[in-house]
Formats: sequence, C-alpha cells, structure tokens
Amino acid sequence: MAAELSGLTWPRLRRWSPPLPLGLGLAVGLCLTLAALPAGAYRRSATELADIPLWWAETTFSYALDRVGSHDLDDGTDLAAVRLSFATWGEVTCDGEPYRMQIVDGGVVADREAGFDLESDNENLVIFLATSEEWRARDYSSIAIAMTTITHDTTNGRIYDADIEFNDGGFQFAVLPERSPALPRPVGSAQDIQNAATHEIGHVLGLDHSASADATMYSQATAGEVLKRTLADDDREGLCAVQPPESFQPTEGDSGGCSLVASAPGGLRWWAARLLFFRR
Amino acid sequence: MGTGARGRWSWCGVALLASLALSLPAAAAVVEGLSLAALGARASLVVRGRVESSVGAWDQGSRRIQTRTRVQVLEVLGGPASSGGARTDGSIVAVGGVLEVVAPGGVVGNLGQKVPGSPRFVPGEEVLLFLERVASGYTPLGLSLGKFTVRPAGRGGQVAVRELDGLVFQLPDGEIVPPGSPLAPAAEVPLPLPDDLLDAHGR
Repeated sequence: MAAELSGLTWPRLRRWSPPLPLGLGLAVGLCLTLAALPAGAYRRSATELADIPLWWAETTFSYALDRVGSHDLDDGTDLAAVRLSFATWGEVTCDGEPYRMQIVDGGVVADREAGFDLESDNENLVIFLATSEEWRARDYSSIAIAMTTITHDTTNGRIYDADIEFNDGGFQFAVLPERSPALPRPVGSAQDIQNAATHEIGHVLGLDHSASADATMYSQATAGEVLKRTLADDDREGLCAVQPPESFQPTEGDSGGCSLVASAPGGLRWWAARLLFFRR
Repeated sequence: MGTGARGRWSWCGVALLASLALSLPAAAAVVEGLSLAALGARASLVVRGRVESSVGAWDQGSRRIQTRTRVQVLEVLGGPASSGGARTDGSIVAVGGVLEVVAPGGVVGNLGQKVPGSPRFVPGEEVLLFLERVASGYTPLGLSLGKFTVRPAGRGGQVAVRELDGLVFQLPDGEIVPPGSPLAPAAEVPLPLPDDLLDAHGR
C-alpha cells in the first residue's frame, strides 16, 4: 500500500520546487495540520523555559508507592486505588499495538523523599505526606494539595524521574463510590484518590492538560468526581503520541521535523503514518 | 523584497505564530482556590518588591531543586513587619531590605525539576507577593497564586498580574476548576490593594 501511495504522489511533487518562503510555510502548515488532526485536545508537557516536549527514553516505567499511604484510609484501598490508576494507563494500545513503554509495579517503599538523587538509582514515587509539618519541611505551600516533580534534561526534555506528592496532612483523600449522574453531589471536599492519581500519572507520562472535557487530562473536576478513573480516546491518543509504538519509535532528539510544535515530536511521525495507512 | 514575497513570508509568520500558540505550556498542581481576600488573610507576609536575582540550587540534604529568589522590599503591605514586628528568625522585614523567597523546582546546570504551577521570577521584575513561612524561609502562598507581577496600567496606575498556568483550583465544595474559569481566582488585580485586605494585617 505504501508503494502504491508513493507511486501516485512522488513524481508530481519532485517536479515542482516551491519558493523558499512558501515551502517553509507549507511545511509548517503541514506540521500544524498533522499535530491538530489526532484530536487537537491533548497536549504534551514541556520544559519550562525552552518549551521542549518532555519524554521518557526508558521502555519500562517502574513506580513505587509510599508504604504508609493515606492516613485517611487504613484498609489498603488507597494504594490499591493508585495501582488501578497506573494499570489504567498501562492498558492503552495504539491501534492494537502496545505503546513504547511498559508500566511496572515496583512495590511499596519506605522512601518518602521526592526528587532526584544524583548518586543512586531513583524511584518514581507516589507519596502521601501525612502531616502538615512534613509538607512544610519541604518548603511547600500549605494550600497546595497535590504536586508533581518531573526531573529532566533541559537540553532535550528527557525525563529521568517523576514523583507525585499528596498533601495528606492538610487535605482529605478518599476512595469514593461509583455514582451515576442521577445521584446527588457528595458533600465535602474529599478527592477521590484514583480519580486524582489517574490524572497526575498522565502528567508523569508526559501529558499536559487537555481541552477535551471528557478527558482524564481535562483540568476541571466536579465534587466527588470519579470520571477521570477511566481514560477517554483523547487521553489514549495523547499517550500514543508521547510514547508511540515500537514500530514508530523516534530517535533521541527527533522532533519529527516539527520542533516548534510541542504536541508531538516523534509522535507526529506515528500520526502521519496512521493517517496515511490506517484511517479510512 | 516584493509585495508577493512579503505576503508569502507573512503567511509563514502566521503559521509559526500559530504553532507557538499551540505549544504554550500548562500543567497541574492542585491548590486551594483562595480569593484575594482569603489569600491576604492566610499570608504571613505581603510585600511589594523588585527581584534582584533568581537562581536554582539543590536544597541541602535533599533531592529537590529549589529556586531561591532575592527580592528587594519596596513596601511591606502586611505581616509582622508592617506593625513593627519581627520574623520568627529574629530579623525584620523592612523597606530597602532583601528577602529570600524559595519556590519548588528550577534548573541546575542541564538538570531541571519541573513543578507545574511554581512561580518564575525575572531579575528586575516588580512583584507583589503573598508569602507564608516554610522551613527555610518564605514561599509564595499557593505557588503562582501568591506571586503577581506589577505592571503599569492606564492613566499612571498599576495592575498586578499573575501567571496561573500550571495550577488548578479546588473550591470549598471539592470542585476543581482551571484558570480562566469564572469560579477561579482572577489573574489580574487592580492596584492599590483594597484597604480591607490590608486591614486584615493590622494596617
């Protein structure tokens, strides 16, 4: 099929050489179109200053859970909820192919220090800081409820480590029951752990907020919401763009020819191929 | 360059600008969505100042990079110093003095720690800060929620603007809203600050 397409298009393209400005504009326009076509809602996370998209080089992502968990729950449902959140992202496939990363449960650890150790191996941690004193000792603001720290190379956006911390001493977390839209909104401000963790893990994997209201990566949530426990198509497409399947694996630093567009280095190539060969 | 060529370059520029707009970063720390009045009431110190320097450094004995920002105090609007009091470390926050503000995340060499929602400081920038005490000094209350940039407004006035991208806000009923929502804290505040806000700090 690829050969047929090549045969149809290449002869005409090769005979015509557009002037430089128009050619550049067309190239940028093509990049923008390709970037927008998959869904146009998901966005990739990027470095703060140079706005280089963040990405994982490893094909295995191992996470570890804080042994203590949330002090609001002592029955193990807190850690089980976080595991379910990781599993939800782990089940994503890209047109039937697994994406270029395997999520592995690294178990529970006593380590409760987020960040990056230059001299030893690092765990991607999920931590519930049980007291306000613990939170303040890290110089964190008392009104922050959940924070993510992503350690990365500023020159190319490669992520080395990512940790999620919950201000468990200052705020209430819960495992809320599934509810239908007909049920009244719950009273209180407790956040569902699985709902929040699934969203935060999306950031850890390299996704930013989505413009799609149905997406787990949407920035808004209603009281007692559990909808973000399950992914929307937009979330899956975003992950497939960040971590394309092996058959479309980008090389390090590859920006797919569209380095100005933060929403898909490497992934652009996958989407372009998908548009050509898979979409009807 | 002819008109036609200029037109083609213009379209190219439009495409580039559009691509840059699409690439603007956002992200996600969850903070309490405090109003300006609530922010003032919760802050242990409110100052207007000018950024002297802002440098990323490893927090001693930890794995975290912090950005430490030195701010020359132009005005103390609230907090212990506004009524002649002292900081818990014994020093006075006074006009003309220098205050160190810590914020999570930053860059050391080629290694960066991105903490979505953490404020950025630019040397020379005039800032309005709602600060709280933490272990090693002061930090903006609610990350970027507590840090404003002071800018000139019309007719010689001033306005305080904050960059809220990177935050989402939890409301008292548990609802979470992004910046720009009618329920979210405003990104822009006219100056001077309302008297009742300052009154909460004994001014």
